[in-house]
Amino acid sequence: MRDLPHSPPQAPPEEPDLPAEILDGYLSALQKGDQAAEAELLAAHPALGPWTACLRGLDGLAAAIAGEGEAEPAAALPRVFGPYELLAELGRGGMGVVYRARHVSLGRDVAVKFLAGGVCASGEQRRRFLAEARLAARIRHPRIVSIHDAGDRDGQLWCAMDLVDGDDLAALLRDGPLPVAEAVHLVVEVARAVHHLHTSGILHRDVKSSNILLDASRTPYLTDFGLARGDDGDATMTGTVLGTPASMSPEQAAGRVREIDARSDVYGLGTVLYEALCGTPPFGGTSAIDTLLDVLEREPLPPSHYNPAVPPLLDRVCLRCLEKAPSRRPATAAALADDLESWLAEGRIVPWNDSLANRIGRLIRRYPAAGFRLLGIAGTMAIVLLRCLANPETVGFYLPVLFGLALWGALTVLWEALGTPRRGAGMAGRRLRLSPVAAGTGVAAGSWLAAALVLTDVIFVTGLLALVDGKSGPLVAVYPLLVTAAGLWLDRRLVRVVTCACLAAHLTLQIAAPGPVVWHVALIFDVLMLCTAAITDFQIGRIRLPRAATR
Amino acid sequence: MAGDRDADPQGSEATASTDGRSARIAGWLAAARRGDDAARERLFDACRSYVDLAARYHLQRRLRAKVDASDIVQQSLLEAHRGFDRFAGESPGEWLAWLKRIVVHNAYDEAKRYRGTAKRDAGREVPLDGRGDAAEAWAFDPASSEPSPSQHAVRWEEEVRLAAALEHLPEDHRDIILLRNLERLPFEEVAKRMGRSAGACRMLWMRAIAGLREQLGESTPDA
Repeated sequence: MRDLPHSPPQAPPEEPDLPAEILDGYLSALQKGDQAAEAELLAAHPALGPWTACLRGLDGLAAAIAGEGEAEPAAALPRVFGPYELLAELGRGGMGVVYRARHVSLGRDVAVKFLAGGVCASGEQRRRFLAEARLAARIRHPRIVSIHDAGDRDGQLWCAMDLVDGDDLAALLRDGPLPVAEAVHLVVEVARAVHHLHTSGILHRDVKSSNILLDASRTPYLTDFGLARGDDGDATMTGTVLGTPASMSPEQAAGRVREIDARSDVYGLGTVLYEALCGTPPFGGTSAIDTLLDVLEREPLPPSHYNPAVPPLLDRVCLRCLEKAPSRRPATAAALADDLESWLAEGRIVPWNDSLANRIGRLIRRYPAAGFRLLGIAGTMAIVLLRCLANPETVGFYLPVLFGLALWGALTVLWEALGTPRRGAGMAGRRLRLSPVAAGTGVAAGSWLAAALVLTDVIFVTGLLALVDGKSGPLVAVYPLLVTAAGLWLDRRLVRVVTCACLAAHLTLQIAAPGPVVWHVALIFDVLMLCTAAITDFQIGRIRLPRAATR
Repeated sequence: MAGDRDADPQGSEATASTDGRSARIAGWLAAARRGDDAARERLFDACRSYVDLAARYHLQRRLRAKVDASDIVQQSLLEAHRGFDRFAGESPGEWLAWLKRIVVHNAYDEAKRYRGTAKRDAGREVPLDGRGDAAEAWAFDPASSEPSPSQHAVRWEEEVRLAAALEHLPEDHRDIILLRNLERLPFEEVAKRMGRSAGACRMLWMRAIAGLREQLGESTPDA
């Protein structure tokens, strides 16, 4: 064993007459709370005396530092909590811990949930929680987990509710999607329950698969409504984003709390339907921020993409629930349930107005990387074509340009296609999505495809600039544009790679392309491009929190 | 740092400074709550070793292996900083309990990530700012033997002092105290974790405790 670096040479080993075994024995007695053994050891070995304070202090520290989140061994249960006897832990998570418990005098088993935010909750929050519990206790619906009792003990908010013996939907879906008809049936039931909440004046706000419990016969029960948000009142005031990004509606994700209404829960139902049909939620980035941005900006792939058994009509119902604008979703949960039921019964749905612009918008949001590039390329081609029409003798000059633009567009589509999960791939292909954000946090394949896409841009831009002799004209502004566009992936490495590629391409263009070079202008341009890159880089750093950046 | 202290034959300077620090925590806390940024900095500085210890403890305890806890120390301090306005308590005891809750929450997440049982990030409850984290760290667990905040208040000075003293110990000393005294593992288990024999661990532990007492100024070698 090595020498102790901190032992001062002038200090001889202390109390050499005390064997380590005795000290250990004393600590064991202390840890067991065996005071008799402690006293006995202390009497037998007076040399222990000076050590006890330190050991006791450490033991106090151990107790202080442990605590919540460190459940006692299961054997320590049952414990009594008010009229309940806690029997077993059913689950725990960020929101609190749930126990299976028995009401001692009634002999009835319930689930007792201890909510997050206990001691920290302000008086106002507690008052609101209890008010909400009162409201919730009035809800009686065969598909809703009822609240029996709730309270505030020593600052800890808790509630007792129906016990559902079984797993939640999220756990079930880990094994894969449900059969289509079963998934639809299930969502119909849940949608009716959600509608019942709405008619009682309660918004669920967190409809998601893990809040749907299934009993042995796979009957769904909705849980965790209203008071699931222990500090919801606070969220309402400040727009704090709290919840599960993957099942959050865009208005919740954006913190536009005033816009949250029944249709936000319809969105949640849409995510449940999607997940039940596909086995994967509509959005699942590699970090919370990626997921949130996806929720805000992107269009999910249709469920049939993951599960070919899903018919087109059902795709439409599901995607309609997931519309970004609440006004485009079904107006109520009941309307959704009706739609799904009529699909089940007759294979038809009530048609609704879906304009062409809407569809194109959705298509572009679904494949933003290729979509926006194609828009830009098509716009450029249109202008070039007009120019050719106006001045037919330029056709020979512009033909290669048009050809280059078309090839660029085709390659873009190819990269996007490679980055889209294969049809029927289920969850396996999920992480590969190419378009910005989903590929963001260094998922290898996604990053490579993103890099391929932007480097294709650089190559084609450079080639086209060489063709049109645009090296000192205003067209070089496309380089900083590419740098900024690369920033959309929120991946610093990508921005740096693209910046270097753009600088190299720009300089190569100056040297290799014919015509005079105004070097100082070219270099100033490069400096400006570096500034653009630095700003983009800085913005990414702002958005990516320290934790996200390390993953 | 530890070297400087070792050069001090009494070891009393370190003790005096840690004592002084903990005694001033209450004052800094009060000032920080009134919006004094400098006091807040000092408060965080004084509690850093406590957070560090709690982070090691909770992460190690969950993963059953020695791991680098510096990420969650950073993260927790950051969250505490950002959520400071939300801290509603007044006593240092409540303050430390609050800090610890944040640490526990982060350790929980980190451990899940380490073990790869966080099924998909998308399915997790993810609070998106420090306030959320602080709010979600829950306060009362009937299955734990943690004392109530008022009981806790009595001991906080000692805890901060011990945490600071532990930070000045050599790495292996700190590790073994963490395993034996804080995690309360028997030496057979400690030996497995540290890859040494149980006997060697016991000796190392005894020296570690001696070193700690010295840090605390409890033992004056010739007395």
